[in-house]
Amino acid sequence: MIVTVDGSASTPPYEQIRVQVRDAVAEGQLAAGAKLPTVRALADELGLAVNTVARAYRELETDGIIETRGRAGSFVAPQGDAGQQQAQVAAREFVERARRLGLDDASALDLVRAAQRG
Amino acid sequence: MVTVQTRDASEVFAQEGIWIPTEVFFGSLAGALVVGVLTFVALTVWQLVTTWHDAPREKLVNKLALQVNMTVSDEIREALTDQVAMRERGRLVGNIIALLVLLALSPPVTTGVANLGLAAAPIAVGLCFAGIQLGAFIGGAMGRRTVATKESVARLQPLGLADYVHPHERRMALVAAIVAVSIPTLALVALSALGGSPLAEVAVGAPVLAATGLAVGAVYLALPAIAKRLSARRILRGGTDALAWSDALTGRALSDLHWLIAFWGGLVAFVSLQTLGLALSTGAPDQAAVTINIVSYVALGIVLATILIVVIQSPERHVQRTLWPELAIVAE
Repeated sequence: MIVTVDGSASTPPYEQIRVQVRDAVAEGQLAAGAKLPTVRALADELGLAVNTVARAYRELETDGIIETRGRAGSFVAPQGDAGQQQAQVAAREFVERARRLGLDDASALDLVRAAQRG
Repeated sequence: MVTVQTRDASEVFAQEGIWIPTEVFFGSLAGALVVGVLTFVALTVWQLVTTWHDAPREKLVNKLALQVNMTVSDEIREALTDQVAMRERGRLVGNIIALLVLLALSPPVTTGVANLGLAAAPIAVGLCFAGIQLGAFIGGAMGRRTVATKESVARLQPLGLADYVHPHERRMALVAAIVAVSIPTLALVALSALGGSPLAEVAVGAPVLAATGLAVGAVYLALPAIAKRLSARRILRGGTDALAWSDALTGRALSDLHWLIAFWGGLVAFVSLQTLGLALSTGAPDQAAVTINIVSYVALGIVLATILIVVIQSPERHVQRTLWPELAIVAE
């Protein structure tokens, strides 16, 4: 997922970041549990002040879109009701485990489809 | 009628008293080697100097653009040219360093030096290749440039190795890493079981080959972490084109590492097979020679076939095909 900041736009840069991350989470481009870059790294990449990105992250956290886990960094928070949140966490764990086992994403998806059929 | 009498060279030398003293022969050989090395270094230094000149730099960028099949927009051309020149400088400096190390390792004509046994061959050839590839990798990864654009873009999640490197290149490196670790280890174990080898080349070379194989395996295992690190630290900062070219350059750097692993791994495994052949064929020199020759031809055939299969896929265009199809110069 790529975030774009237009320096000449009337919308402030922090708001541009916030809106794009929010939309990406809503559209499923960023799954629950996905790790976001650190504030400093993202500010460096975008050529922005650290405070600008920090403000965007703060507002996203206030909206419940992301969560900060201490030194581990910022992650996309599970969205929706309790059941949906648990399913998102389970899906994330499955993907991570499948990758650790050396399965490619297509094979992992085949396993999910097979499990759904059976 | 004219009668032509032929005499072989030794007859002529013997009858006419012409002979080449050993010192003169080896002195000439050493002289030719020095001239060859100096010419090579001079040419490389000249190439290095041209990386500061506009026309050769332009040529380098255009060549790379065609290789990776990606258009270069005007706004990033200057920064990209600087970066590509850095990569080329790294390659050339690596080349010179490898040559100097190789010369330092080579035994002088008159005196013997530390014998690395059969491992000497991969070390010699591998050093040159490693110098070029590592130099290009370091040169390419050095320095970050910012392109002044109206928009700036960033990835929220770093890409992985699979996004940057063609599957065939990854498989090739995997196989090379496996054989680089397993075959020298097998040779070492076989030698230990046989209570050592009477051949000095085998006894000295086997541990060196095993250590080199382990190093190749370690670099292979580190590849995903290196890819993640390079992805998170973009080479060109700026707009979409800068991100695309950062991906392309990262892809090239990782591809260099894959070829390095494949080359060293293949070479170490090949020489280890020869070591094994020599160690297992004690007392039967003919059989040993046959074994080594068969193994050599089969291994060479496999290596050539592998290179052909990988190169046919034009793996250098992987990033353009998978991540940036819209930037293609030539539609595929």
